[in-house]
Amino acid sequence: MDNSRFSYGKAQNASFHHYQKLDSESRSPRSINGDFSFGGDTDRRFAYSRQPSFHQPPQEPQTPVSIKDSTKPFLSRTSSSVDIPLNLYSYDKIENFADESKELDEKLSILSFILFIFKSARSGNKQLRKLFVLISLNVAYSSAELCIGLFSGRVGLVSDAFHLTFGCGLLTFSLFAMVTSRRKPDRCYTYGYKRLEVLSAFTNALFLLFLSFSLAVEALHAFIQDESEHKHYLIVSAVTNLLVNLIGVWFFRNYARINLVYRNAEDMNYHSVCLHVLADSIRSAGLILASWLLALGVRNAEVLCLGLVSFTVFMLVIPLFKATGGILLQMAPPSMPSSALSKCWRQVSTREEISEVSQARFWELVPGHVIGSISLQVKKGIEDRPVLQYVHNLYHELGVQDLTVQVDYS
Amino acid sequence: MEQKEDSASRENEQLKAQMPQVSEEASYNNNQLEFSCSHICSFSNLEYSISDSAERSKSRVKLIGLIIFYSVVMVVEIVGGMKANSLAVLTDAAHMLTDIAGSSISLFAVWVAGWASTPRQSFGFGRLEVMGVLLSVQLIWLICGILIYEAVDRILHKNAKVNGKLMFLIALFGFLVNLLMIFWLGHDHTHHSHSHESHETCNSGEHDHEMEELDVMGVEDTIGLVSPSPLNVKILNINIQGAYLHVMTDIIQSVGVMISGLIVWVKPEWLVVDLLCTLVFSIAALATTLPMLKKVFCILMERAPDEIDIALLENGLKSIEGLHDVHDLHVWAITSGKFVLACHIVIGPGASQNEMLSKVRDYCERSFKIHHVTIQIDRQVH
Repeated sequence: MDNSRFSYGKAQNASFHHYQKLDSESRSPRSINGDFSFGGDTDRRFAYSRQPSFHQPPQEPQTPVSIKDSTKPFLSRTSSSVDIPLNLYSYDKIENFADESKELDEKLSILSFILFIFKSARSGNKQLRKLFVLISLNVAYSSAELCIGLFSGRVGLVSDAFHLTFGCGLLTFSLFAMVTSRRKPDRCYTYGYKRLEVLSAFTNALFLLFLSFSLAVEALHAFIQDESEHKHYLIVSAVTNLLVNLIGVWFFRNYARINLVYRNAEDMNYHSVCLHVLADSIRSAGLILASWLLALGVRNAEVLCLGLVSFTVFMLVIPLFKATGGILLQMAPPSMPSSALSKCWRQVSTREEISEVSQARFWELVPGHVIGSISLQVKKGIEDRPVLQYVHNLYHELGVQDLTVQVDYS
Repeated sequence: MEQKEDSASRENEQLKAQMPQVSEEASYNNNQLEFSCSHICSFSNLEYSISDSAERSKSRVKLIGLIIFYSVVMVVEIVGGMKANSLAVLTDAAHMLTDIAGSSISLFAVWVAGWASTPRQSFGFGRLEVMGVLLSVQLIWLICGILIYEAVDRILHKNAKVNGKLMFLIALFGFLVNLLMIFWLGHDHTHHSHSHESHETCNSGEHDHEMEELDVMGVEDTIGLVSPSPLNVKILNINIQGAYLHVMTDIIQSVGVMISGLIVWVKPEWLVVDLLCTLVFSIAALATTLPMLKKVFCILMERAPDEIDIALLENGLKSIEGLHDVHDLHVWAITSGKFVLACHIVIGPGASQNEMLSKVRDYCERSFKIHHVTIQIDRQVH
């Protein structure tokens, strides 16, 4: 226990820097291969066509500069889990971590939070900047609507402004998630912060579900009341809302699909933002259509339009909701069909050294990052290293990046 | 997949033979064993799953009582409101309806969490409890929003006469009902206290030197001890916590409506007070939901749980003899109270692997109540 301080600091690094390295590796191949996720200009439709769904491209490890031994691939999953080169982690990482956590403490005040947002918006990637522009547009528009509504005493405008503000708040949360998810894992968030993007996508999906539900209630209300109040000023606000949201849809046009294959966490977040803006624009379009039909004299136009909009928004959001819900519930990764998993299971258990396989659990941290744990019963006297290598290799080909294998000797 | 079921049924038969009495909960939970059983510690896992299901049936009873009581009150209010033709009473009945909805969600989540794990859902359905609580909290927010909207509506349509006396009486009735429910739910303050003292553990990690002194003492404490005091406290089922939160926010809002009803009864011109009171108390009610939201957030982010001191855990593991190093340590919670650990350990060349595995597993179970542990051994390569 004399050198406990020394070993404590080192092991603290070791516990979570494993994931730091993995994080930085997983980011660099994307920049080399041509910016699929970040560039808004590349057409993502071609990125998704015809990919075998369970084939995850194995993360090619890039050799960082700090490693002296550059001949061996650093942290390729086959060898790292078994031989850990112990002297690899340098001490300057402790200061980084301390700095970042100090930053978090500072960020707790709202003013510094706003400053932080501005700073990161300037230095962020394209999508982040687009989202920032979109949010500022929305904020400007909703505050203008609120002021006008309050001064002229029109309740419809005020409630619409509140609704918009709530949507803005959600978009800000998405922005916050985009920025924060880049932080390195630390001792409390041992898996890093990438889950935050999935959470923000889930929140957006929930909001959209709620929107669809409230539109249905409004349609029902209009049906029961059977009075169609025709408010002119609401149409102006609906048109402006539609324009603002269409700008947003244009920004995120690469994600304007219902069913999307998510390759990484940011995909989910961008998709949710796009759906949010799309649903809002559909709602405004529905309102405009309802007023036009009412002006034409069609009865029950409001009920029809609101019902249609509610149904459309619901259908739009359900795939995203199911996908994010599945990740948050730690379901088996949808990209790995259970036939592939059971095939791996069979392959492992038919090996002669292994007598039993149990507790095979796989879950996705974020889309594209699968974590698993498995427990093996091995006959006495067998060397564990080749077994470990075999199991790691097998699951790595399937796409499980992090596997913890427990070997019990019977 | 068939082999897994075979081995699970073999284990089931083994354990059935070992347990002389077959209580109802044990047979209900035999398919839980597929998830939590291992050959080495079969008994402790069975105990855990029995106590787990006992706790769940207790929660179920509490929630069912809550729902029945609220339904009765709601029916009374609906009948009374229709007879007296009072919109306010009917609105309160609608409020009760949302309470029932919140409790039903909690009940459903408690029921679902008991399901056995499936190959697609390998950790069981415990996470659904967390989602259920998220949904209840959002219902609470929705109710607060609607109340604020109604208060604004009352102000703007000044021609509507507000009956202060009726408001006060209804709010009083609601207050008493909810107070009764608190006693029924049987909330104890322990989960507040231990979350207070342990929420420092993760945030103070960066003061390495100070932690070091604390840890030296902590390590000496944990060698040969039963369990550190923060974990002796029973962690309540998160759904009961959610239902309690529901009742709590109801009480706060009832108090607010009582006060504003009283003021409007005494001085009918001061309608602004109604809006002000509603705003203040709704914000207070929302503020009480924030700790629960934070807990849900931490669980969904796979964060190391607040109840477990990571530094203590790591040092305790390293203090086991024969164990040289621990890395890739991940601890996270499936739901409040159920923890999972995965790590890699490096042991010396002479130690026996099975012994090290059982030592680590015992330490995690006894000291931190982590029942699902997966350990990968990397022997030190020298």
